[in-house]
Amino acid sequence: MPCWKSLLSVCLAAWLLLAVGTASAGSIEPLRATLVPTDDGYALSAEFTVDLGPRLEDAVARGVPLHFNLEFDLTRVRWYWAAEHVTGTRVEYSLSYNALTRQYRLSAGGLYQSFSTLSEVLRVIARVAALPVVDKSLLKGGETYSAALRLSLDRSQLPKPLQVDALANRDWQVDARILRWQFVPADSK
Amino acid sequence: MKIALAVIAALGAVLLFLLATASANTALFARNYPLLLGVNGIAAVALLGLVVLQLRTLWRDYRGGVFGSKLKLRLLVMLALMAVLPGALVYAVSMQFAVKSIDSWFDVRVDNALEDGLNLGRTVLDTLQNELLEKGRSMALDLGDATASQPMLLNRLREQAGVQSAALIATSGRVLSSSSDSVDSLIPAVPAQAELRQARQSHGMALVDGDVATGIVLRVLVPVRGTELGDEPRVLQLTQMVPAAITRSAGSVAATYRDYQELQLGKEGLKRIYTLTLTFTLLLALFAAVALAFFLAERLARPLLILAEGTQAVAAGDFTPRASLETRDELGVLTQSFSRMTSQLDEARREAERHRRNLEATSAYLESVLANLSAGVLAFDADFKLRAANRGAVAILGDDLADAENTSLAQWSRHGAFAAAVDANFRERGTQWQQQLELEDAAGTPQTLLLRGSTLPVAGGGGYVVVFDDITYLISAQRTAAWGEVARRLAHEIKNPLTPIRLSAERLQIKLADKLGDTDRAMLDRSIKTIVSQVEAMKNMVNDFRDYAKAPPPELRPIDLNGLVREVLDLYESAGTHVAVELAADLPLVLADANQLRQLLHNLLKNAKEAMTEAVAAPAIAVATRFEDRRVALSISDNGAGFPPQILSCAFEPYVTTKAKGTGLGLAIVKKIVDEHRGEIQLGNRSGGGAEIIIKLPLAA
Repeated sequence: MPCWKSLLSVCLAAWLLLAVGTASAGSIEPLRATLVPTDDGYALSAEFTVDLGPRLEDAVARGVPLHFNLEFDLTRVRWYWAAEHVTGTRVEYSLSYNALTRQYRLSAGGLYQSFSTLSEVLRVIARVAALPVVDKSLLKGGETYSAALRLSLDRSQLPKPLQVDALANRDWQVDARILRWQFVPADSK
Repeated sequence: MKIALAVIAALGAVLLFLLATASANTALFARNYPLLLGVNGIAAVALLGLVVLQLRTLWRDYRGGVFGSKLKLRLLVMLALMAVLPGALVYAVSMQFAVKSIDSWFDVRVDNALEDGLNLGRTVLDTLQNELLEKGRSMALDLGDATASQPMLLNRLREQAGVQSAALIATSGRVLSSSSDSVDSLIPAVPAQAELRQARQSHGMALVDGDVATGIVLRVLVPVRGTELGDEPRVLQLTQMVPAAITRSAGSVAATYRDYQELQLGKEGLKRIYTLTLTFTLLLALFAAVALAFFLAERLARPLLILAEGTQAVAAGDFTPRASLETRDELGVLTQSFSRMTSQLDEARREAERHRRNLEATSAYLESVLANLSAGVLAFDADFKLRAANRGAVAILGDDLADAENTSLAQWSRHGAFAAAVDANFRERGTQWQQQLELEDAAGTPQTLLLRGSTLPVAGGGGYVVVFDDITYLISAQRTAAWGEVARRLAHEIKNPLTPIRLSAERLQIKLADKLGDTDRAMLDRSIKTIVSQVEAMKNMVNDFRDYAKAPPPELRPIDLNGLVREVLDLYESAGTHVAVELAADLPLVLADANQLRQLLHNLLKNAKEAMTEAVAAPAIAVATRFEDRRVALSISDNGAGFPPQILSCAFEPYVTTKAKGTGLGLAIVKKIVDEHRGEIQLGNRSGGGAEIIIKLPLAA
């Protein structure tokens, strides 16, 4: 059946052509992240550089809401077995632009703030300060834990046509790198 | 495979429905749209795999020359074409339509109108903001100048300005005084520190809070500067709800604008969605149709295959019942009729077979009857070539007539006289004739045949039939009977004068003896002696004749043949003749006249003894009895010279003898006795030399 093979290769080539395109994707890079001890446990403070890329910034300016997820995971490293998941925190941000009032609005968990420029909003998103993530009772002193942090664009909440675009077009994608670091809690006693 | 097709097709239909619903502008599956696309793709690939599997099976069948695969392939191609062509057409038209209609949604004028609408809304808000800011500034001036009780003043000023709420806030963020026109919002929202700082450094700033759903609230912050130095700097905050109608209208314009922008952004994506949905629909429908076409082709081809197989089987002579489809359509009826037809054919064939067997049995019966006829039957075709000859003919002619089938009767190399007679008779005497023919067989023995010829009817194919009997024995029997009559008369006529002749001769001797001289008397005595002895001999002969002719009918009784044989043989043994005896044990009784049998044995033993006296080195006579097929056979054999061939056929006739002296009546009497006992006598030469006579007698019971 050589005809099937040729058809398949044509399809593959078409898909690749669609997928290549201009690779001016945005990116979210974690700069630094630390776990700061508090009375109850540890709080996360971190900093990212957020670059949405021209296409997404345009989309926001046209009123398309964007959703971001801040995910933090803490796992205990075990040499004898797979790592144990200790705790995880997830914060959802939603960014939208109100064309009428010309304000950007950032909402997270029912609270919202309005900003007049996009860069202000992005600055707020990029900085995480004193987010309580780990309860003290979950940690054992002296053990080594592995922390992972990522801020990413939630593509599944984009409008459908844009989701389909995002499948094929890098302009709509935001690379989100995961930051991992070792963490040894101080002995609390 | 059928089940797999049904499952995948059903799944594909559900998925397609979901995809189509989701592709239309709804919120369904908005979050997992790519997943839905992927699952549809998998369904399409699964169907494709099914189709490929079916195609491969069919192709292998086709290459392997499996019966019916060609028909299936043709049906499949036709059905698939019927599905593919309209499908492709609808697909092309739909694609064109969908993509073009998406393009037609976007129009510069709509774009501008929406933009203008939005700007209008913004302008309205700006105007309201500016108005509020102006009010704030004038209120701030009034407040800065006044020393009166601030809450009262604030309330009054607010009411004068027609503002919904007003609050005087210290730099620290503390609310110094507030006023509101509604009871439920006595405590105003406190502005952020940054806002306060910003407000103090400017001539007043305007802010917008809330959104279309909750209502847009305009807020202005104006610094209140006291006339005296050292006055605590304060900020006046005024809030004013934008009228609901304006909010609603502006909000709807904004929402539409946003949707429109979103659509414009997602134009390519939308086109892709439509393309993908349509393509998946096409692929799923096509693959399902092709896969279904397989089953349809199989279903359609099955009755035809049954018929074709049945036809082949019938052609090969196999009438076993065929499978038939229990459907009520024409094809089902056709297969049922076919199966009925084959069973009828089968029945007809069996009937014909039975008839044939009956015919065969009949003809075999006739043949065996013909074969076992003692009369000879020869059938000729119209050209006088032999068509059939029975065993009787072969036996009588002493020839298997092997090559007679190829040569005409006139050209027969053997049996020339016979053939010539038959030929001549048919030519000269026509359809029915009878002739007695004297021949000599191969051994030179004279043979008398009675021929009857008839022409077969032309309707049956024509030809000729000759039936002939060997009547040599019949003639000899007639001759025997005639001899008996002659002998009886001769005995009567000759015997009467014998006694007077003898008495006269004796008287002549007595009367003349004394009157003659010695020489004459001697001659007389000699002559008289001769006359007397000759008369005596003649008398004996005449007695023999009489005995032969006038033998009384036998008095039949059950007798033990073995016992009789032993009794007779005792006499011979005592006379010094050795006879080898081989008598069968448990011999049944025979129905016979003991005296006549004794004579028979005497005659035969005497013959045997005489046959060997001449020149045999080791004379051996053997007598044997045995039981065979409802008769008892008695055989007497010797190792003498045997019968000369010319004697064999007429050995039983009186006066036929090989001996120098003898009446030739011995065997004739034997024959007569056997005949009167309803027995059978066979006479022949043994292969090792010598004669053998076998007599068969009926049983007593």
